[in-house]
Parts: sequence; C-alpha cells; structure tokens
Amino acid sequence: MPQENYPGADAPMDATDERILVGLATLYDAIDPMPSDLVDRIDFALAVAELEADIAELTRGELVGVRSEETDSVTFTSGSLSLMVTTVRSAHHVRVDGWVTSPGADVDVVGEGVTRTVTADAGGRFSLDEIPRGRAHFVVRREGYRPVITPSMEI
Amino acid sequence: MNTSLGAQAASAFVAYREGDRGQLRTLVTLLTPLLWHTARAQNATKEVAEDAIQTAWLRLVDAADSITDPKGVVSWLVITVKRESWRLLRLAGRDVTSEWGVPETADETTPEDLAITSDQQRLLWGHVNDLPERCRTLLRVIAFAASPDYAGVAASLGMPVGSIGPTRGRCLARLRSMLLSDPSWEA
Repeated sequence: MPQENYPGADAPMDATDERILVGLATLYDAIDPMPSDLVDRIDFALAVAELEADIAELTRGELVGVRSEETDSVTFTSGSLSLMVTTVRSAHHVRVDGWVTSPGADVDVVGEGVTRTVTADAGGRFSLDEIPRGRAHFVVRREGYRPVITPSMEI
Repeated sequence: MNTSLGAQAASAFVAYREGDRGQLRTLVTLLTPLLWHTARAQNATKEVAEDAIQTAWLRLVDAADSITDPKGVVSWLVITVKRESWRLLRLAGRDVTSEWGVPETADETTPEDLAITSDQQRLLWGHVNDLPERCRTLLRVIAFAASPDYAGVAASLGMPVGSIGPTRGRCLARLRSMLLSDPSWEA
C-alpha cells in the first residue's frame, strides 16, 4: 500500500463514501454499543461538578466494572491533595474507609439519593458505614480552598 | 446531514457558557457516542473508556471558559478522551497496541460475529479487518462525526486526512476500493 497517496484519497467525499461511513457506524454500534446508561451517569457527575470544584483524577485503581473482590482501593489526586478510599462490601451496603492528605477536611460521600459527610481526623483518616451500594463520588471540602470532587465510581 | 456535529456542538457549548445549563445535557447526548468509539478505538477496555469519557467531560466543565474557539469543542474532547484512555491504560499496565476484535482465524466465532446480523455488515467487517490498524482506528471514529467535521476529528487523532475540506483520505479511499471491487457489495 502506498504510504502517501492512495488513489482517490484526495477526491472529495461523495454519496458512496457517506454510505460506507453510515454502514461503519451501524456496524460498530452493533458490535460494541455505548452502554445505554453512560449519558445519564455523565450527566450525574456533571451536575455535581457544577459546584465549581477542582476535579481529582484517578491515579490508582478502577472506577467501574464488576468487582469480584469484597474490598478494593482507589486513589484520587488533585493538585497537592490525595484521597485514598477503600470500600468493604456486604450484601447491600458498603463501608468506606479513607485517608486524605488534609487532616480535618470534610468528606462527602455522594451516592444515588444519599449524601453522608464525615470529618477526617488529625491523621486524615475517616470512615463511613452503611452506604448503599451503587455509584458514588467524593467531595473533599477544606477551609479556604475550592472543593475537590472525584469522578463517580461503583461502590 | 444539514447541520454538522461540530456546528451543533459549538452552538450548544456557547449557550451553555452563557448560562443555559440544559445545553450541557444536549452536548453530552450529542458527543458521547463519538467519544465512546474514540476511546474504544484506542483499545480501551469498556471500564477505561467510561473512566476516560467521564474525566473528559468533567475537565471540559472545569476548563469551559478557557476554550477560546467553541468550534474546537469536539476536537478538544476527542483529544482529551484519547490521551486519558492512553494514560489509564498505561496505569493499568495494559498493552495499548494490542489488537481489538479481530478474529484470530477465519472460522473462529467472536462476539463481534454474533452481533452482526446482515451479510452486508459481515462483508464490511471482513474488509475493515483487512485494513491496517491505524485506518481501522481512524474510520471507526470518523464514522461517528458528520462529514464537515472529518478533517478536524482526524487531525485530533493525529491522522490528518487532508489540509482543505472533507476529502476522502487514504483509509476511506482504500476501504472504498476494496468494497467496490467486491461483487457482493451493494454499493
């Protein structure tokens, strides 16, 4: 295959090209469809982000997927702040044990229809029990700083 | 298509920045399918794809005021999803260059085969898999953009199709000639 100019590469798009591309889109939607609830989940995350918060990014672990283990840990980072969260699951509820690099910060666990708040101790540790399973994200609030919000994760 | 994806996205983005919060939902609905296929075309797992897309949207809200040209919002998101997919894949120690969805042998049944319902789709899938991986990546994403946006989206992926206007580009030209020379293809 020529590396530079394949015959017809410089020609304008025509109806056949459009049909091929429509065919490709249909094909990929059939073999690998976007999850039907993805838009809703993004919407949910964005609604919270409008609190004008800084966004923490995931630096260790995964946010979604079927989790086989009862316990797992993820770490989020934003600027100088890190938040490590370990979740321990029972049948319907989750215990969240966390550590934040900012002692005394307030940490919200925002689940579907429920928000719980806890204040980190002098060592930055916090714990919340009986959080319903489902999607949740965390908001860390400190005096004098913008809140930090994490992407939502399956807990 | 009368109004291109890029133009619709730009107008929703401008309205959102001017205070119409509902336009953010419009933008998400409009562009997330393109972003899904962008991430998946980078060999992102479904989990990584979701994480990357969610992060890109959160960053867009965060950076909304710093995007000078609203017409660039589609490219901005495509680039962010691509980079974030690669970052998360590296973090997870995954091989970002591994093949995706290509049958090992001609008669091996893959999940893709099961999802394909027509002979025309099967034929198209067969030819697509004969293309180099770069072309498959590009065409998969381009298929979810409207024609006036191809050039911009392709450039965002680091694979410019031509400097001026929506020309066909090498990958589409190649797939087209494969299909046109296949007697079973109903052009």
